[in-house]
Amino acid sequence: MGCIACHGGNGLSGDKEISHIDMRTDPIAAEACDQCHTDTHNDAHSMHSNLTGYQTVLQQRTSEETLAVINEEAFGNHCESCHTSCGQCHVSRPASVGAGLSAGHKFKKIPPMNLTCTGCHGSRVDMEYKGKNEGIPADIHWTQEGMPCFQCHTADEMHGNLDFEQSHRYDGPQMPSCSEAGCHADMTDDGSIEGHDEDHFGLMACETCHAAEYKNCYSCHLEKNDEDVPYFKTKPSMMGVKIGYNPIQSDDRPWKWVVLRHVPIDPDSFAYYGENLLPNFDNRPTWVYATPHNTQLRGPQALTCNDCHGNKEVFLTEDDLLSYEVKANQPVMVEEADIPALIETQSP
Amino acid sequence: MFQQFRYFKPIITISLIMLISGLIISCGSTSSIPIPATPTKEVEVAVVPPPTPTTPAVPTSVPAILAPDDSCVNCHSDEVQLLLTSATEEVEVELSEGEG
Repeated sequence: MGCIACHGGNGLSGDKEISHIDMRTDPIAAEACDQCHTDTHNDAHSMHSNLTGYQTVLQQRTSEETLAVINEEAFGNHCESCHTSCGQCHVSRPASVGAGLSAGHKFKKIPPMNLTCTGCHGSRVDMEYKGKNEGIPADIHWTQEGMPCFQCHTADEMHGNLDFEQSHRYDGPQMPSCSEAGCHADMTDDGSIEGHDEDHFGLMACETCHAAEYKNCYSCHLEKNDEDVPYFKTKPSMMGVKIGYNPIQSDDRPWKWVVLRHVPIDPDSFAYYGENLLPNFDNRPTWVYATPHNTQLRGPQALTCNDCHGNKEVFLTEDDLLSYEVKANQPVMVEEADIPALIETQSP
Repeated sequence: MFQQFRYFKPIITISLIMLISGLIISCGSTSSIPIPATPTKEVEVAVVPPPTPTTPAVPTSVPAILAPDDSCVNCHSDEVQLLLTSATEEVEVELSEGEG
């Protein structure tokens, strides 16, 4: 294959300007990759490409009119930079982290994890998985097995090659699943492992006990400077574990208790672009279903029974909420009366 | 005479060792020995039989997407040319604050 087949341009001219007319640094999947990779690739359905997840949560917090305002400019300025394409994983780094070819122009069937996956998913996933948050250990899948991202996250998941429509990354069955991927398939509620009994196993997502403290982000504000260059500001993040009610309880995720992560949305996140652009802010919690990437044999909330039982600190209660987010978090917030009671006698 | 030989014995031994070492080194070295040029073989050109009623012609598999005018590499592999025509890199100032 020649360059022009994917990148376009004019190969007849030796002049730089003329030869680069209609040339694309980053080829469009539908015009290039998809012409051959019809079975394995599905760019249109990949949330890495179509950013459907962003639109889904924005639709819940906006009205039709205000979503249109956000999509007119703010979305392109701030959110679309997270878009990636085939080439931005398999040939270069994503543009949002500075682009640049990974290894000459070699196509990498499996993208280099450090330059692509954690190049974007850095502040939360990479720092949690590799133990870069001070005082918090790395994920045991990393320290004990050195497992790269793709060992759990399949190409079909990354490319949206799924047998259902996905409008958010937590739609459909768990991807990856701790038990169904062939790794922890022997986990049952027969009590053969402490805590894996009928009282806990079916009620709690794995992370409820097995996650360590993870990052919670606050108050993202989007703006532009005098030269129209977009930027964002967030308040300092906070580390911690908060257990709450499962906001997306379903047959695929039936548990009552899950860990929740604070996302940096704020009623004024889009204030630069217009007034009250999130009129339905309360339609969606700001503490959301989470899958921290720092799995431990026991997280700090599960070292002993009473690190969880009777321990208000690890549950999301009204005291943890900012004044403007109390209503939004009603579905996930735990009433003190519902916190599992302290266990008086503990086995050693 | 034997006394003279005893006097020269170490010198003879050292000389023999140096001679043998020299021979071994020179045998292992490739730089000092000219490599005979490999005689060029004649290129064998495959003769494609003309189509016959029993063996229909098969079209040559040339990738259709390889445009004949695809000469991008001519410039993009020429370091001097690239440096001469490259644009000045814009230094981006990071305005964002906090974790994204």
